[in-house]
Amino acid sequence: MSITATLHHRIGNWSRRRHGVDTSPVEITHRRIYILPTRLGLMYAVAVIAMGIGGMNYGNNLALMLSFLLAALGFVAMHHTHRNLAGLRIHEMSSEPVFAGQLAQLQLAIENPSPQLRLALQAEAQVRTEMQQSQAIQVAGDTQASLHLPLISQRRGWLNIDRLTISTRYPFGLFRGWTVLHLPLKCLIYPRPSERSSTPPPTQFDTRNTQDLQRGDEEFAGLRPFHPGDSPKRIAWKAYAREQGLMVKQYAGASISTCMLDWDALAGLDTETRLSRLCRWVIDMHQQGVAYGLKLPGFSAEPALNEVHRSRCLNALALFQGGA
Amino acid sequence: MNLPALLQVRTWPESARSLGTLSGVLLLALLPHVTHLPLWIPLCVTGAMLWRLWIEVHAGALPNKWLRSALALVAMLVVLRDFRNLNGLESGTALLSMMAGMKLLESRQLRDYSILLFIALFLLFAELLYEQEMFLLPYMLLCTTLIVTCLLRIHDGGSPLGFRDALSRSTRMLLQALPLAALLFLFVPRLPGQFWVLPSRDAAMSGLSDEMSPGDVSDLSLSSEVAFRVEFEGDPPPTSKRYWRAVVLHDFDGRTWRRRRNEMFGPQKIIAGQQTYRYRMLMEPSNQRWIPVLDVPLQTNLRRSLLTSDLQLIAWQPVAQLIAVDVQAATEYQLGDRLSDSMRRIDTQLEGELNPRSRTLAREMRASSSDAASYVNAVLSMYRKQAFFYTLEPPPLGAHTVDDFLFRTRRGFCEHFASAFTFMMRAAGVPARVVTGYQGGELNTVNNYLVVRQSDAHAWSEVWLEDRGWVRIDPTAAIAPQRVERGLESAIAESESVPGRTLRRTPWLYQLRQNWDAIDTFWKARIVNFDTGDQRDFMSLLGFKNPDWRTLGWSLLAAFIGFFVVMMLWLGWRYRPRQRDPVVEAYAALKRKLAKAGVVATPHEGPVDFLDRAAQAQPALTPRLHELRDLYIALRYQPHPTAEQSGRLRHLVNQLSVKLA
Repeated sequence: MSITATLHHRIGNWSRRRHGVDTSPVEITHRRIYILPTRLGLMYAVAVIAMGIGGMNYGNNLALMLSFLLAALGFVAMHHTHRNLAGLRIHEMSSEPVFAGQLAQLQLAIENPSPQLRLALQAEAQVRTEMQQSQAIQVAGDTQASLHLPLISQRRGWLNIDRLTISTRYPFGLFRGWTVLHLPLKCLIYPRPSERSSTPPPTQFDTRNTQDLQRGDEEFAGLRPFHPGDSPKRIAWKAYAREQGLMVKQYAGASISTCMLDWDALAGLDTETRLSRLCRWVIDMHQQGVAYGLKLPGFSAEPALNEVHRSRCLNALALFQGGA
Repeated sequence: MNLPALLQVRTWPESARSLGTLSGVLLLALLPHVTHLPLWIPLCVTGAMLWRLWIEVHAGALPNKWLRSALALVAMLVVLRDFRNLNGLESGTALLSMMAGMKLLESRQLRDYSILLFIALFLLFAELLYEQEMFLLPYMLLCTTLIVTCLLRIHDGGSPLGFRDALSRSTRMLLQALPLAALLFLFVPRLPGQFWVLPSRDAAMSGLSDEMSPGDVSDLSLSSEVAFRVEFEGDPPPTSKRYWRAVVLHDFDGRTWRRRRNEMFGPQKIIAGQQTYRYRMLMEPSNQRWIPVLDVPLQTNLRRSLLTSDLQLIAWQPVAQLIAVDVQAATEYQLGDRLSDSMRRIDTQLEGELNPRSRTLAREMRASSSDAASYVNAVLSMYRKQAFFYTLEPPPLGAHTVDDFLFRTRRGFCEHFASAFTFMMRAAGVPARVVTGYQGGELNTVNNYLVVRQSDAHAWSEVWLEDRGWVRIDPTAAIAPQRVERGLESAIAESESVPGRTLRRTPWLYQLRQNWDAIDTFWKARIVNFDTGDQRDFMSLLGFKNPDWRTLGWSLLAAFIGFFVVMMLWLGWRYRPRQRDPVVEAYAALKRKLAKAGVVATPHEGPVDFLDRAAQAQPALTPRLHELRDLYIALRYQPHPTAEQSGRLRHLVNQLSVKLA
């Protein structure tokens, strides 16, 4: 680890001891802002000192004026770096779960209660060994803006971010001001779905003659208002085009196909491959509009077809412990 | 890299426009250097800029590493060849400029150009080491503002901060920095004298040289540049007594008078008259080591300097910056009581066989004079009686310069008269030497400064007379007394051109120049020459008795702390959160109370949805929460909410006690 990285790590630990675990929203008070010159800032200092010595040697007052002005500007810049961060409030926001290997977006809302524009705000977090950095954002006065920290994770389960820094190099990149947040942020990572070409779910059976308005898909039986969680396949786009609002087509299914996705059906494979396969099936079944159930050791879900069911199944896969 | 193609693109991409601004700022910092850098350097830098802009506009490829390294090497070698060094002021400037060009071709990311802006700052700084004219202050401030603006735009986090917005922000920051900069200027202790000087290629000599060759072309006397300015304590001496000695020339090879290579030191006996003058001289940079002083200096405060035995004041380093010297001098004096044998030999030697006619004439005239003093008078009266002319356009002289001048042309200026006179003295065995310096000077009635210009340069002789020591003899005064009494212009025939003649004869123009010169003098005396003495005066003005560097140090510390506090308070006030709305405060308090019971508002939830959800979660509080909801909505959206409603809302929120559901 480089010296600066070690230093930042130390300051992070110190901040943790001083402020403990934070609860959202966190106000960035002046006591939790740290500020150090950047490499560019050190170069600037060397340049200004060299100019000062040169001007001093020649007794050249105009050259001295320039170096004094630049020195004072560096000092002013430090204050502005500090102020650019001070007083902001950081709100925790839930982040969407993603599949392993995909880019997760950790979301934070930054509230600026002052009338001044805040510029070049960045979030950084260390995910295992890699430093992840967000795009720089700006927050206008009296508003809030959200900041997305992209996180790449290859492993399923909870991705915990227990330390996060919000930093800025505004105005001239001479100083970096930052604050360390110990918000218990986490993002759920689903297993990586296996290849699409893999075998379809083996168990498939019909439950004929069961009238189920939700899950039928044979005969059209009318429209009902859309609720979050309805499959996008069933949205009546024509009705939407007629400006009747977002409606969902209902079917009185004479025959509903249902399948059971079973952990035991994949005997012989290792745990992660099984989970990947099951994950792929859940995605496919949901997309094809086939009601599915999931059976894992210690978890079982009755067949259903909606968003809530899908996330419940994927959650179970993501957080699955045990197996072979 | 053709310019028309570059100009054809109507709308440049944003990145190209930023790059264009950056290049423009760099060029602006480079601009004043065109006078002391060879032209190919700014041309190369401009070429690199156009090339880089062309690449940006046409999304072309940057030159690869090998090409860049080769270019950098070539640039360095060419600078080395042209300047013979790499650490001089000019070569350093040249190298910096070339580096800026290279840096431009190196990178795509705008943020990598921060270094380029630092180079621009250094170029600006280097320019100030060359000259400290008044116009450079606003120029410096303008360039600094633009450079800082570019630096800000590089680090604004990719936000769409337009150029104007960035300019106003950086201007404000510079204005905030100004008070601290002024305090630093006032309190940072200054060093006495300079410790090192960067080697300079062609320290463009202005003013006197350490040689004098009458008969060769000289255009020195035509320059109206200011050599130095003098402020006298009390009245200045009359014009005819204002002889500013600078260089003493001892060695003559028949054509050229030169300084001695080995200066002689050692005390000289000086008996000064009653009348002495105290003055402060502001000397413009001459890039030479000698400093003109009024006749015989009795005392100076110039450090790192020497006084030779023939009373030349010589600085250790060439004068590359404006300097101020306090001098006490005498115009009535007896200089020297005994001439050593070696000095007598030096000041009577005439090498070779040149100028035979003059030698013979000298011997004859000396023989018919009773003593050295009457011989001097005889030579001077020869100048006066024969048809000698004072002119700035003398005919050229042959190999025997003195013979040619005395017997053939008889036309010349101070150099010719002084040279021939000194020759005549030496030829007759009278020790004599040539002194060059300035004579006269013009009093500016606006500020009572005496302005001495390069056109006031003059040459005369000094002759050793037993019992009287070294005596100044100005042969020019014998031919053209007006030159000494009223300046060069009055001694020159109307047909010849003299600098400043038209100017002097146009009263309003002349007055304008006097005023301008007074302003310029103020700038140089007060600002450019602000030194330890002025700092001390300033400190006593603040009420410190006997201020020293420690007082300055403490004042500096106090200034820093004061600035820190003021800056913090000012920015804290600027960034203070808006006055809170009591309704908003009450709603926030309500949210906090509910959050404690586990009902947390999500960012996307409005107050109605949230309070309805809270009412469901807390059935016991449903009526209260509904009333709060209606009150909040009324206070927010009703045309004229009443104070009672607001009070009721706050009261309800305060009374509310939420238990975990």
